[in-house]
Amino acid sequence: MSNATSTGTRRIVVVGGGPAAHRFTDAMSARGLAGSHVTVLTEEAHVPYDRVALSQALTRTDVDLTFDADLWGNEGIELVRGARVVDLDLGSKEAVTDDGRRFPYDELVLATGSNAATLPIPGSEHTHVYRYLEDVWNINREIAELTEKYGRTINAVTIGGGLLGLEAAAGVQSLGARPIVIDGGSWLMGTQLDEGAGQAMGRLIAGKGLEVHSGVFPSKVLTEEADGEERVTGVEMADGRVIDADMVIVSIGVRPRDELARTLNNRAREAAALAAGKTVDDLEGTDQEPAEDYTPVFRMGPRGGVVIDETCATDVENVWAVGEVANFGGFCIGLVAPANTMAEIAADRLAGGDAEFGGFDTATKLKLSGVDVASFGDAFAKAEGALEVVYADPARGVYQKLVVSDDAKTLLGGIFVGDAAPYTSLRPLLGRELPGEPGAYLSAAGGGDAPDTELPDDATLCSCNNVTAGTIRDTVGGCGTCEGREPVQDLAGVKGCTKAGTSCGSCVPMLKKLIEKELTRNGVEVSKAVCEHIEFSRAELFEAVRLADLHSFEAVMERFGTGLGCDICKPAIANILASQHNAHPLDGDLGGLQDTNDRALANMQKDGTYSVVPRIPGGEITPEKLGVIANVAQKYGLYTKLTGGLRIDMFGARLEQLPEIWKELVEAGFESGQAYGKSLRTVKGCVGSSWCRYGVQDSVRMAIDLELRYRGLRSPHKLKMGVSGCARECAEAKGKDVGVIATEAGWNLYVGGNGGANPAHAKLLAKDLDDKTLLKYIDRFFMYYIRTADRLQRTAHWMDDLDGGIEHVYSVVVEDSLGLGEELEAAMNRHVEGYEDEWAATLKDPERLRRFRSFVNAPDQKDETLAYVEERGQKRPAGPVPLGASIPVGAPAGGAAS
Amino acid sequence: MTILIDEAAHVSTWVEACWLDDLKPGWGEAAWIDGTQIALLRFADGSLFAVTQKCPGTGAQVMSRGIMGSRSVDGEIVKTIASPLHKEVYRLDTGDCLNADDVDLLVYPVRVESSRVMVGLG
Repeated sequence: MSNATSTGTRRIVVVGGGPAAHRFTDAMSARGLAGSHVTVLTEEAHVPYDRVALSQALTRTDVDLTFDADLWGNEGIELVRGARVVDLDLGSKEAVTDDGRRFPYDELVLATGSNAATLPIPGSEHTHVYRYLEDVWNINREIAELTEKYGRTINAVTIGGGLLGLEAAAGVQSLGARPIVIDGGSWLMGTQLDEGAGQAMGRLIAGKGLEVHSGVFPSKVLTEEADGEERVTGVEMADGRVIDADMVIVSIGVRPRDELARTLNNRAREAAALAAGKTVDDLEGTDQEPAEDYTPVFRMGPRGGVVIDETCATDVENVWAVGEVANFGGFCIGLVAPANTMAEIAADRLAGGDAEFGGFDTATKLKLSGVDVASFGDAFAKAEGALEVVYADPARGVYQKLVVSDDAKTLLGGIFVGDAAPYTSLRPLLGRELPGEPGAYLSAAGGGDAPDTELPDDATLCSCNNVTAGTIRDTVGGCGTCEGREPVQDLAGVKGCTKAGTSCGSCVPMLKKLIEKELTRNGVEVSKAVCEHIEFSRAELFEAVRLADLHSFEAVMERFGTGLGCDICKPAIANILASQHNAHPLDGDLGGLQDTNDRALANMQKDGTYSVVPRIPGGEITPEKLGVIANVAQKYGLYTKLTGGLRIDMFGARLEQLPEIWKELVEAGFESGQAYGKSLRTVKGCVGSSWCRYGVQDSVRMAIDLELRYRGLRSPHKLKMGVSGCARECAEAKGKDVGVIATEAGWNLYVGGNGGANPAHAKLLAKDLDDKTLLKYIDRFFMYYIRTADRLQRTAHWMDDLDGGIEHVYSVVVEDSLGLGEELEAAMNRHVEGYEDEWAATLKDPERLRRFRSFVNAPDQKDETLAYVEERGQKRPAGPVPLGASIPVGAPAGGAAS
Repeated sequence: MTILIDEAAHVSTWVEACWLDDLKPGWGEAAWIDGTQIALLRFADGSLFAVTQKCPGTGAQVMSRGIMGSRSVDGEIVKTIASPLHKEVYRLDTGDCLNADDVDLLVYPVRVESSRVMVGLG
């Protein structure tokens, strides 16, 4: 390792805070940082976010595109925002910011990305670009403002008919503006599509209501002065036509942000010129012209970009470049897949590896609903002797083309418009021999019955993250990428381990297929069946039970099951029946179905005794009630401890003691805390505006309201909620299944967080909600989860598994895209109305109480094998058995069970 | 595999545990027999099993509070009990553990005499 500092920690400075910088840092983190401290300098105010998904933020300004923010909290990684690097001191090895800060480095990574190109025509200062979050937020705001000001649909012109331009146009359309696209090329997406595809594309786009003007360049953005400000009125075209416009978005590509390298080159050039006796003035206007006796510090590409070699190294020692600023083989490419690959290669090299960049993967897929377009590889059949196999159906707007080698065997590229279904399975086969006739892969021609393809291990499945089929197989087989964990057997697990499918998502269908195949090969049952007794998945069973209106285990098994059931399907069925009917868990034949804790309405501990947790809504409790808990714990000799969810846990209660303990608690006004159930546990709240000097809303009231509304709600797994009274987030609501965070205007709603072994941050679902809307959305969210999740699947995992993820949840919960809104709310209202405290109800009924006898022939006999020792003034189970351990074969059970 | 009926023939001490009516199908109960804790498990088809109350994995006296059910083993449907602590599943006819390298579960002979549940202890 070169240039280690005196402390032995190598300093890596990353210039730029876009996806490439994030990916590089993530890749270093995955390698344990390789003895480095990584500092990322970004001029943006944001934590690095997913620019690929920028169009989402155009239509929903509250969407959270941040990449895994936890990365920046890690030891040895630092993110400095608002730090714009303007110079490099190669002598002292320091990056210098515009405000004069100096960041010393041992290794420097340029990840400055690109700028959106602007139009060199008059009036271009009045146009928008489409690159940063602020850009799309401004577009969003301006559409709203102009629509209100003019009192009509406004004309939003997008100049540029490429991928991003079309996404922008579709975005402004959904915001209520009239979308008009001006494109200088003869057809749309000219970089990716040939003429036939472009024609099909044009029809599809027109069908979506986008007005397209192709083959003509704009020459001027027209404005007029009104109310003291310039406003856009139209775009004048090169042929003299004028197209009405109230706003103009320019999306004509990107230019690498290579000014740092240029600054250094210019300085070297000046120095060389001065040394040769010329003056600085002689150099005016000859920027970057090759001068005699001048060697640039950084070689630059003909159209910009810092030249790198296959290791991502620049010409300057210890300076690397990754992403859109990097010029490889004469090109800079504005796509995320190569940026990720370069970031991984640079990280690998810095960790002592020998990875090499093999060239750009330019496959693209348009993310525009209802318009299916994909292009990959040698789409224009430029290779010598390349054959094009084409199917076109102009009437349906379908165009499909495969480019193959002259023997029609090797796949070189392809284009799909109107129906891109074959893309995902063909994409990994690029450069390989096709297992079947090319024509068979064209769904429009061959009916889509492409031969079943076995991907070779080295075929890239996820090009955004450069994950090969072999890596996926290893992960599914033995979890080679994260040792020491449970084998990964599902999509969410594979995504977490390998990052495959986490960027653009287009490989996910392929990924699912591969995982299933691999599991089958490993002899793992791939079925979603609950267990050997129930063939349905939990979600299917939930619907079946609901539609058939079944109320008992016997009825469910008679209709949908075989055998006697087991420890998997019995609790699952009990849980489904509880979600649908609110029946008491110990009634009818339900008792024997209940899992360990539900069976005793308490949490079984390692010695077979139980812990007792009364509900303390929102964590608010009077001193008098604290006294009741203290008295009960003293009277029954229970070990007491605070839980992580603002409650008090009392341990060591024997089965037969539970009813008497609860009798005292219920009489004092407590109710079951359901700490034992797959149900709502607690709503953790901070003290909020009632006391806190920072609070902006009454978070205690909200936490109590939520806890009382959703208490007792049985769900596929436990549910936790949090409410914070201000953005400081003291209640850690983002670590909960549902988190509510106060704003000046109301409440922000986050969903899908959890702690535990696989922590997940909740994602923002909606902003600034009033109380009523907040409850409506939570009702819908919980009920949709309860209906569709797998058993023991937390909300985060469930959302990962849903096609569309949080976007899908948003459409169901907020937009009511399935039309289920009212039904889900009604189901929740039935739950709320039917709620009864399980312990109060148990105490009232001798049949229920019978379940708590210690022995059938000696109902009050104490289990005399229980033994305790004292520790820190309280009792704990005696015996050497550590928690969760199994007794070795042949050994006695230790002191507790002599 | 041990066939219960054979073993039962050799039992010399049958001890009364409870009335058959005390046991509800699908719901396990524990019995206290001179300090020995036995789990009694009755199925809806009338079959009845007695096993030790002590979970082989942890030594806790909890087996009666596990979930009763069945598993298909080599095409044969066998009745099972799952430990409530760590969910090891045991065959009730043999005591074999089906899903872990655990000690097998001790199985007692059991029979019904004049509506009384009798457990063979010796």
